[in-house]
Amino acid sequence: MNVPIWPGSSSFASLSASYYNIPSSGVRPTAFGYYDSDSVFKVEADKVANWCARRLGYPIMEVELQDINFFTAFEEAVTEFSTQVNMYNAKDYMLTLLGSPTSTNLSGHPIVPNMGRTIDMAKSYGNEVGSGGNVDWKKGYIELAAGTQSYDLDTLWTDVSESGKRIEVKRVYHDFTPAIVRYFDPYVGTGSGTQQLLDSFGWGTYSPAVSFMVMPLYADLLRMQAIELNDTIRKSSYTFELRNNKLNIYPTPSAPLNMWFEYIVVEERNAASIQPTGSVSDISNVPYNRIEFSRIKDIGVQWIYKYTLATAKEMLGLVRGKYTSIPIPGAETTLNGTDLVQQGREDKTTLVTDLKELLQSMTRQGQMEQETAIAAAMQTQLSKVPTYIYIK
Amino acid sequence: MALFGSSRDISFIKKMNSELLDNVIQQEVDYYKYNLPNTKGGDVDNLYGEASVQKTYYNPVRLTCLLERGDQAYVQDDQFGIDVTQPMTFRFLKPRLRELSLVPNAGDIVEVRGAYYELDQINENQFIAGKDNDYGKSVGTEFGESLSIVCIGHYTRTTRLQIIKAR
Repeated sequence: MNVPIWPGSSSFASLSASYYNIPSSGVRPTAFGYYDSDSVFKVEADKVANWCARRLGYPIMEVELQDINFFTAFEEAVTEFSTQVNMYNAKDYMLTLLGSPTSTNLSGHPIVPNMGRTIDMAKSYGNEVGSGGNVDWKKGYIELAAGTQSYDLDTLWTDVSESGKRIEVKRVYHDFTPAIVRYFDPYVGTGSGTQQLLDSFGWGTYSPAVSFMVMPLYADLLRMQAIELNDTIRKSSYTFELRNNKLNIYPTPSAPLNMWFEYIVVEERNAASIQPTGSVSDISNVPYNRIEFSRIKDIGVQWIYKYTLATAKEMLGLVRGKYTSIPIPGAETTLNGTDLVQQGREDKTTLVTDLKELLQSMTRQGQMEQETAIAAAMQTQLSKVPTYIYIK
Repeated sequence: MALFGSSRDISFIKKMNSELLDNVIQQEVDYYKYNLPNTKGGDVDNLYGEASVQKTYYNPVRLTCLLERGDQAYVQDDQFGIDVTQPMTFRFLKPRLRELSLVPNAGDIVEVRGAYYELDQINENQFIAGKDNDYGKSVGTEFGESLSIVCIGHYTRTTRLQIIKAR
């Protein structure tokens, strides 16, 4: 068998035609055929193969690769570039893209970020403090009996109204009458002595009648604090203890009454909010399709050329390195396979690292940091400009 | 089926050898194959089957090979004066010889730098992956190949060869 090696030229078009025409013959020019129909890719493939072969020493030295090796390296380079760019786009806009349809190809489309997912995340905090969220706060009540201090909410409410599902009480309505409505209560022990004054003006029936008095606001606050402190110290405080949905009421009720509370069903809070099928869930289905080579401009194209060469170098190294030493008549010789593989991989690593750094600097965060730095530098520069002195 | 030394590997190794011998090192020799049918022994008595002094050779073919030159050795002959000899090893790529249907034999002549060497020993003992596809047995003909033929010769006088006009 005589396995041909690089002859000095290639024809992607004829190879492609023989494979894609019917009846098909030959081999596909590239491994995956992603860009075989891209007219620019088809034209560039031969040039890239020729350039790589020359960079690898042809025609002074033989290059033990075929045209399809170069084409495949070219395809890999375009795909790698596309993947890196798409990956950074996805990373940059992931919060915005989560939950959006997977059917629309986002490649080449600028994304306008929104706060949707940030607010979604904040909702779970809101759930806990009753300021929003997506879990219902429900209301219930138990009937307090005179002289009974302890009540089991699981028995009295959960089993009856929530089918035994675990509840978490968020608020218990068991408190003193608000201080503001007892502002003029002569029995609270902190009477202001203004009631008669107001009555004489005919305002005594308004509540709170303080609206008509020219008094500083802090006087009202101090008075309400005094009423509440009085309640706490001199009276049996209205409070409760809640442990494992066992409620103890203080003070012990002296008459039957309904005590309301708010709660959530734990199961509802823990249930994941699942988006419908066809929505972006993670990096695996963000709809950034491969970028066609014809859409990539100079900066990317040059990167792709270099990556193609690095891959070809690695491939050539692998070919030359299959055997550590090659027999020659009456002796053995060592080829440069190891060096080529190492150089190829180093080149690829460097290229990917550079590209990542470039892309990182182009994320929204990177651009903002750059703009901030520019603004700061500009301010510093402007501060050195002599200021015009105006003399009147 | 063997894992190493398949025809693809052999093709690669042969290409590397061709490049090395033809383009990189490029030591060229002219090989004169002994023409036995045209060699006659009628000019002298050939009682014991000794070699003819009227050897003839086919037209030379140019080959690349690896040369291993021995030092010239000078021998004092009391009757004729000083004589010189020099061993020379020629390492040929067998696939190239096969293309030319050239089978080296003892007695063939190889010319290097205007000097002629008569081959004494022919060694074929280097096989890719240790196998010879001509004798594949159960391995088959896809694996291994004889890579080289190493010939050892000695410097010989041009006057004996009748290849060029010596005087």
